[in-house]
Amino acid sequence: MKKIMTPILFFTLVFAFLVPTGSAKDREYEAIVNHLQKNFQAQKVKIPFTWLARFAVKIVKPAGVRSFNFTLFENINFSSPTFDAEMQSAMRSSLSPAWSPILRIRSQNEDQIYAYMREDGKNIKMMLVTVNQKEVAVIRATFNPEKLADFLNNPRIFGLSLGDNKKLNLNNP
Amino acid sequence: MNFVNKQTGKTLLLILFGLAAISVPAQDAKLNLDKLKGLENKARDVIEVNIDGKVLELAKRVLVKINDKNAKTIGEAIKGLKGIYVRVFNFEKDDEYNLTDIDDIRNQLKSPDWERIANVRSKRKNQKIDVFTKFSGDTMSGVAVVMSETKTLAVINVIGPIDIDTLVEISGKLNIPKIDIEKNSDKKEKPDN
Repeated sequence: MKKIMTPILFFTLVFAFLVPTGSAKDREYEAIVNHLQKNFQAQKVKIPFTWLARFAVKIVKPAGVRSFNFTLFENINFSSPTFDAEMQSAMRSSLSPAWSPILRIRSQNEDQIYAYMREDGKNIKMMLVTVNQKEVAVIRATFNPEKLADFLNNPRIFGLSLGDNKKLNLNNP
Repeated sequence: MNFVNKQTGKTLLLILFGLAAISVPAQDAKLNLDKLKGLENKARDVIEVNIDGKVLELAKRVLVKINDKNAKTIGEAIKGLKGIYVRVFNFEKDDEYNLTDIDDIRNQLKSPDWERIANVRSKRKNQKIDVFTKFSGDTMSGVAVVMSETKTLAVINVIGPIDIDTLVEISGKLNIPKIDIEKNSDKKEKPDN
């Protein structure tokens, strides 16, 4: 019985991460991803074993991160003058009003960043889009800030210390 | 048919005015930064920071827990705050913007509630820094900093009480531009160059 149950449990867990859940968080994330694909003919970069990384994060919750999703695009076709306004509008229309725009950096020569945050019980949800000349990354992460603070104070995963007395950098990037 | 009788109407008005009176001190220190949008087309780089509401509450809770001097300083500084709003515009060439572009902000700060406590002029990069505070009774309800250099224009609006020395200390972090003024320059206006 145990021999049958173990693979069933394993595949159930794996499929739980692979099958779209249709939850609000995924719909909002997918709306932003779809916007980039449709409007800027962006090509998704295939990153192997992303599902495994997501699965591991869900189980281990490193640094208080409870879940994440990540899409990388390349060869994005956009013209600088209108991209910023279009991206702001796309994020506003994709995300519910509970999200707050906390940071926007628009640079002609360097990266562009759009960061939104919202509270979800004890957790924080973050939606981040970073754009440079070659790539666009869309990141959605849910994390527990208290656990993140604990991790920063004492960086350990599976009891292994990752700390090396590095100072936390809160200065400008 | 009157659904609301006179007494109920009065009570409702009292409640509404009461709520308005409570919310005024926190809200009226917030500048309307929307007029700065016009600068976005001229600027090479734009930085927009909005930290308020639940995100700010969370930052207050978490930053003080982190064993790091910078994090603790910021955590302590933002303890009583209700909002931090920053707009920075960097330009490609010298004097690509006009100071009239921020006239709307200056007009808001001309209201008698705002008091200019520092006015620093430096010949280095033609730097000008004006620091304004607003009080509601004895309580500071906000701070505004307008910084301009030949290629940069920045407006920082902090809602809630903050010590100017602390604001100078946390500047340069979290995308708040570095406020380059002497700590003892408060309340000593320097003449314009």
